[in-house]
Amino acid sequence: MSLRDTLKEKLGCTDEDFVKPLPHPTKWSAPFWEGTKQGTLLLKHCRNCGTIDHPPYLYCTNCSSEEAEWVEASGKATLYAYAVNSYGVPLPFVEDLPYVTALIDLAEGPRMISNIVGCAPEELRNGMELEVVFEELAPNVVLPKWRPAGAEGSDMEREYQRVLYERKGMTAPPSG
Amino acid sequence: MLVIHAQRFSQFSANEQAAYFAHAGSDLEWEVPYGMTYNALAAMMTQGYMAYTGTTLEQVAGVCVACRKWANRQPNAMFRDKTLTVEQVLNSRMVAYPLTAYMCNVLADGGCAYVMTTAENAKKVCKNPVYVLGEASDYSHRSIIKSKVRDLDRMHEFYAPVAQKAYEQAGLGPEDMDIYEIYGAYPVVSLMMADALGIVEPGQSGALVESGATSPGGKYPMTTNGEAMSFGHTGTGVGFALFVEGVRQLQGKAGKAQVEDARFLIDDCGGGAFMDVHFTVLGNQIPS
Ligand SMILES: [Zn+2]
Repeated sequence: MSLRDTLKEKLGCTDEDFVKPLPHPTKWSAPFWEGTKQGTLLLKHCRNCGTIDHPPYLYCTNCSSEEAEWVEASGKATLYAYAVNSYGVPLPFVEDLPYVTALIDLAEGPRMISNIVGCAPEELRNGMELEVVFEELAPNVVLPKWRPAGAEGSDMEREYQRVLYERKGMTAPPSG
Repeated sequence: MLVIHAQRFSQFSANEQAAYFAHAGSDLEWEVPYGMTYNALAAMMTQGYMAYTGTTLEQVAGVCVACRKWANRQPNAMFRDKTLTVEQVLNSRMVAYPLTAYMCNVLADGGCAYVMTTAENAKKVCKNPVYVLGEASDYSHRSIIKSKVRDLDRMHEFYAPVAQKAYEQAGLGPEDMDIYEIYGAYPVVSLMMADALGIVEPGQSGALVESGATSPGGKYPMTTNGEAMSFGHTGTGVGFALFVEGVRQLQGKAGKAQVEDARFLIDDCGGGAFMDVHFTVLGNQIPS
C-alpha cells in the first residue's frame, strides 16, 4: 500500500488534499514566473537606485521608485542555512519527505527561500556553491530550485533542463 | 480594564493544524510552494545560528530542558508532571534537522487574564500591584529573507536596541532584572533573545543556558512558566501567559516557581515568522 493510500485510509482524506499549493503571481511578480517557464531566473532591478528586490514588489523597497527592469540572474548562489524536513509537513509534501528547505544567497544579493535538490542531506554545507535548476510543479508552473554547483543531476532532471532550454531556443549546456 | 485571552486548538485535527501552521507564517507565493512550515523556518534558523555562532545542538536542547524544569513547578503547565533531559530532546523524533520533536512547541488549549488600570488607581484596588516601567517595540520583516539584520548569528543587533529602550525608560539596566521572561516558541529564538538582553556575550547564550544559569535557582531565571515548549502553545496566548506569569512572580504568587525577592523583570513577546519584538520592563515598585 502506498504512503498516500495509507494516509487516505487513516485520515479519510482524498487525492485533492495532496495537490501541491501553487504560487499565485501578482501583477508585479508575473514576469518572474513567466521567466521560470522559459528556464530563466529574472530579478527586478531598480532603475533609480540599483536595488535588486526579491521577491519582486510593486515598487522598489529601497527608494519606492516604480522605474524598474527585469534582469536575468547568473543562476549562481551560496547556501546560507538549511533544514532537512522529515516529519509533520502538510499532506501535499508528505510524499516528498525528506526534503530540504533553505535560505539561499543569490550572487546578485537577494536571499531566497527554496529547496535544495540533487544533494544528500549529509553533504549540505553552509556556504556551499549552488546553481539554479527549474522544476515543473504543474503545467505552466515552474519553480526555481537549487543544487550543488557542477552537480550531475539525475537523468530526469537533465532531460527536463534540456526541454526547458529547447523552449528558449538554446542548446542545454552539458551538466557538470 | 479586564484583558482576556482564550484559545482552543483541540477542536482542529492534527492535519488541519499542520496545514494552518504551514500557511500562517509562510508567504503563499514565495514559501508555501516549497513546503515551508513554521518548523522548517525554525529549523533553518537553528541550523544557521548553530553554524555561525558555534552553538551546539546539546545547548539548543538545553533551552527545552530549562523550560521543562520551570514547567515542572507550574500546576497549570501542560508538562508539569514530565521531566526532560538533553538526551531525550536529542533522541526524540527528527522533525526537520536540526529540530527534533521536543524542540517544537506544543499546541494547547488555555486562557489567561489580567486587570489593567492606572498606577494611581492600582494602589486602591490591589495591595501589591505591578507597574509597567518601560516598553519598546520594533518590526523586522514579513519573511526572514527580508529581515532587518540578515545574519542569523547577529539577530541581537535588531533585538538589543529595543530591549535597551525598555530598560532606559524604566531607568534600570540588565543586571537590575531578577527575571527574564523570554518568549521564543522555539529554543533558537530564546537564544537569539538572550543574546540581546545585556547579560551575556552575543552568541554565548547556549553556554549560559548549559551552565544552568537560566534554570530554577540560577543567576538569570528565564521563562519561568516554561512557555510554548513546556507550558503549552496557545497561539497569541503564549506571550500573554508569560506576561501574566511575570506579574504573578512580582506579586509573590508564583508558588513553587517563585523567584525569591523578585522586584524587576523584562518580558518579551513577538509574532508570526518572528517578525517583531516587544519588550516590557515590569516592577513591583517604582525605582527611585
Ligand atoms: Zn530603488
